[in-house]
Amino acid sequence: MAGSRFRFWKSLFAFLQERRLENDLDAEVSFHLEMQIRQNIESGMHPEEARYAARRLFGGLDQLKEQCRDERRVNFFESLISDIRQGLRQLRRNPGFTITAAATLALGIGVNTAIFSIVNAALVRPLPFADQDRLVFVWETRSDKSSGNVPSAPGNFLDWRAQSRSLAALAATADTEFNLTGEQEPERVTGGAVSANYFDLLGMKPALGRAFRPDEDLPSAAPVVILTHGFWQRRFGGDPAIIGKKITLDAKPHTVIGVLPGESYSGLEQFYVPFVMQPGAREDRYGHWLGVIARVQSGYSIEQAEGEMNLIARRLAKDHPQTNTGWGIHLVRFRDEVAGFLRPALLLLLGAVGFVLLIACANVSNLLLARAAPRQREMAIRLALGAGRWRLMRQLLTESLLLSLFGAALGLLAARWGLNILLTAAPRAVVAQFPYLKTIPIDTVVLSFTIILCGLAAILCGFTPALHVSRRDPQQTLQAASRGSTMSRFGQRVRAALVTAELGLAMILLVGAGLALRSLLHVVEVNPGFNPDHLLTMRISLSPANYKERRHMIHFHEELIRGLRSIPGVVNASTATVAPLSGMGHPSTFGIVDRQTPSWRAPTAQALSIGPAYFATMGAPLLAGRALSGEDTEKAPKVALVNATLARSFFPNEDPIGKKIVIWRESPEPREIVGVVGDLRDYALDRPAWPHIYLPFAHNPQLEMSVVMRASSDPLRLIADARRVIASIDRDVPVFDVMTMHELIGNSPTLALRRVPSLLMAVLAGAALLLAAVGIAGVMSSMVGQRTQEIGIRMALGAARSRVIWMVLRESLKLVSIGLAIGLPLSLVLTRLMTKWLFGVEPLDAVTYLSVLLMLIAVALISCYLPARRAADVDPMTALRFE
Amino acid sequence: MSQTKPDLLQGTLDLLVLRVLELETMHGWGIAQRIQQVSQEVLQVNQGSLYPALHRLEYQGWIRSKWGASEANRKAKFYELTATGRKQLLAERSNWERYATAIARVLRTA
Repeated sequence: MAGSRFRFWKSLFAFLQERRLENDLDAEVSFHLEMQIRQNIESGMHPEEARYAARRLFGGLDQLKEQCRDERRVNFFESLISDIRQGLRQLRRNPGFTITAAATLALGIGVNTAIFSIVNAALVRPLPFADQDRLVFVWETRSDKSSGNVPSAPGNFLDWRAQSRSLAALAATADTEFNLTGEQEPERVTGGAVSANYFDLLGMKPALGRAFRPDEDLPSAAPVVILTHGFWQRRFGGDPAIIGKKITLDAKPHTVIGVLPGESYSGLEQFYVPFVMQPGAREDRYGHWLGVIARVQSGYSIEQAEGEMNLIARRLAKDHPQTNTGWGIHLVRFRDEVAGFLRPALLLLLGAVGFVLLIACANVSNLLLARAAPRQREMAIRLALGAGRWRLMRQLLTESLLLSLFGAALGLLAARWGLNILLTAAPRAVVAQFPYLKTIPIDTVVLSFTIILCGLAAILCGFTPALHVSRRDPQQTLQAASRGSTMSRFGQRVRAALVTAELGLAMILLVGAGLALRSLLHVVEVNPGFNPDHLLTMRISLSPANYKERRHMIHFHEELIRGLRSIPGVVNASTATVAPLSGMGHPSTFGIVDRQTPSWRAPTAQALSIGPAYFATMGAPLLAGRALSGEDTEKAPKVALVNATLARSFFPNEDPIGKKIVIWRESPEPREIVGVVGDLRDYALDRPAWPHIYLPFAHNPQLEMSVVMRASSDPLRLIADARRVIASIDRDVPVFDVMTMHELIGNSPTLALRRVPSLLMAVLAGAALLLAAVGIAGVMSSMVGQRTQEIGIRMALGAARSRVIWMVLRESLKLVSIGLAIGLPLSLVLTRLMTKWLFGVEPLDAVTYLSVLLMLIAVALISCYLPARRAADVDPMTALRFE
Repeated sequence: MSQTKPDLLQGTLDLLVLRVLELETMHGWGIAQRIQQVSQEVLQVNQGSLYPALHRLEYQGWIRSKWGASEANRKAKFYELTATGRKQLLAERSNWERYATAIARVLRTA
């Protein structure tokens, strides 16, 4: 029937328009009466009599109205309104219950909303790019899968750009850093060097000025720069007339041509400059250091594009066998690349918060059931008087829906608040990778999710109480109620089942959190290979314009070390190209002299330049040979240190000392290995160290370096003096990332990405445990209430207090053991999903499982203490008179 | 709670109302009069069931109402048949005819 779809709305409309419809009906009826009266008069009646006869013919007006309303199903809404009114009255009458239940649901819904809004921001919400599903990162990868995704070589990039049909546009990107000088204090600024078509490819338009012109990435072009919104605000006070002005980057004036909008996709980038392909780059197929993004031509799938790119790669391998043999290409969807690393953590947390919601619902359901007991008489009477079961169930469901609505409203507020906290704690590394996590909005997607959760929670909470009512035989209930028994056996059993389910779920969460926390502890306890106590680190960087020659850099470095060591309170000071665990690296391919290795097989190592006494400053051991010292001057023979990992992997059965190696990134000169040092964890505490090669700074000066200083006491006291020393050598050298080594380790990306979710898991598991404890305490105290009489008899017959207490505790231990029996196998299965997360612990870690078991039993016993005490305090006489 | 006399078979009134409205748009009073006249006063329409029936039919979407002026230039609520109402009438009418023939056949032969 065509109209059926609209009937609900018609009813609703009729309900809302009730007054008008009633007036309509009045008018209609009075017209009818008038016609009838007129007819009666025409047929010869006296007007008074005519009116009376007409009225009589019509019957009761109110009944007529009621019937018409029935026909329009208005009454459905009326009873719904009365359900809601009654529900609200019930909730108001029991504020303690209402607040507990709503707060429980607010917790459950709040954590879900918070985590889901992160999921939404990271994985669901569209990125602000035109046609984002066609945007890909282009990575090179070894065909034998011996490497992950590797940046591209510039020569290859140029060939792809010329040959590919399936990629409509390709743009190169590289991180870049400059010293910004001018009227204000010098500053080290990070930015991106990007091909001129970069913004076009992403579909991004500057808010002020323009994007790069196609010819602006040629070596001959005048230097230009585009500022990000944040940088423009911070450094230039949002100067609206900035376009066309010049700023000095690395002592070279750059014209500002554009400012990006506030919402633009930038991580730690503060500006963009054109990526200028140097003339020699066409031939460079060794160095893999270029990020490449591309837009897939419409009509091609990403897989097809990858296929075509691999054909090109095979052709290139034929033309350049030295460098390109064994390299293939992998395309990664933009979103997966920027947010994929968050996915495991988010899915883990999403699962955890789902369990918390389930536990919260079980708890509220339990509370509702407990409350249903005193109301059974009311329900039974209403049933006996002819109220439909469905009508009663509907009323109970309305109540749980109201509770869920309160819970959801509170939960949304809590989520907003919790997210703000989380955002301030968000690891810098995450924000850098995924700038859109800088703000996590509660948008329509999140709101719809919350509303769905709210409905789900209402059904989950109201389901068992409603079922309970519908099962009862009113006569039995009335009889039982008059005897004073407060809850049916069925109700008791349902409540016990709910509590065991809560305990089981809590166990899963506790095991998960336990494993995550133990992994975190293991990671933190990993020996980094050096002594991080009392170490201060900072980064400095020299302007290439001021240090054109090596001797200038070497001179600066010598002055620096001398100056730093003369600061009182400094035990030792040195430098390295990058500090360990800073998340940075300086990789290069290397070769071993007199070994037949094809050059395309050249292995990679981190090749760092270090100052004298670097390892002494770090507190790291020298394992063999000698350390580097001030004797290794520019003119001295070329030498190198290698770390234990490199020695083990490349000289398994030989003594590396005396062997010669070549660092391709620097120069083809052979360098003699003079010592082997211990491994310093470089990228992350939970990953093995890379092979490392250390060169004397004087042999291999770098413009950028990390300074490390060991203090005799508080390292933070050295900061002012260190800044003063550096400024006294060159006042244009910016000092940045000043922190203690412990701070540096704490901020390292992999540790932060492990710490935040692990701690969140622990908080969630704690909440789950608390809820389960409340649940079991509630069930136990209602059991005690129910068995008061029995307990009284037992005590009258001489049972000791301890026996009574034991009876209650035994009951709760029974529930706990059933809960554990459910939780254990589920935990065993589910924690397998987090194998990736674990470090230093097995998924079946006995310590975790045992402590969780003990913790649950302890919590169950503690939460039963009050009910047990109450049972033991039962006065036999009162209990027996209780009837 | 209804006190209306079962003066017409359940459902028959709906059929008659639809039929009357098929011919012309009409107000409640007119519908009642028309049914009585045409049936030569055999079928008495109880007002107490007429108006609920009109509301029911309107709710079903078979008729719709609007306010207009009556013959005596009084404001009155007029009902008219909708397209689905027309289909419904057709279906109910053939149902009724089958039913009536069946009853007649039983009365004649059994």
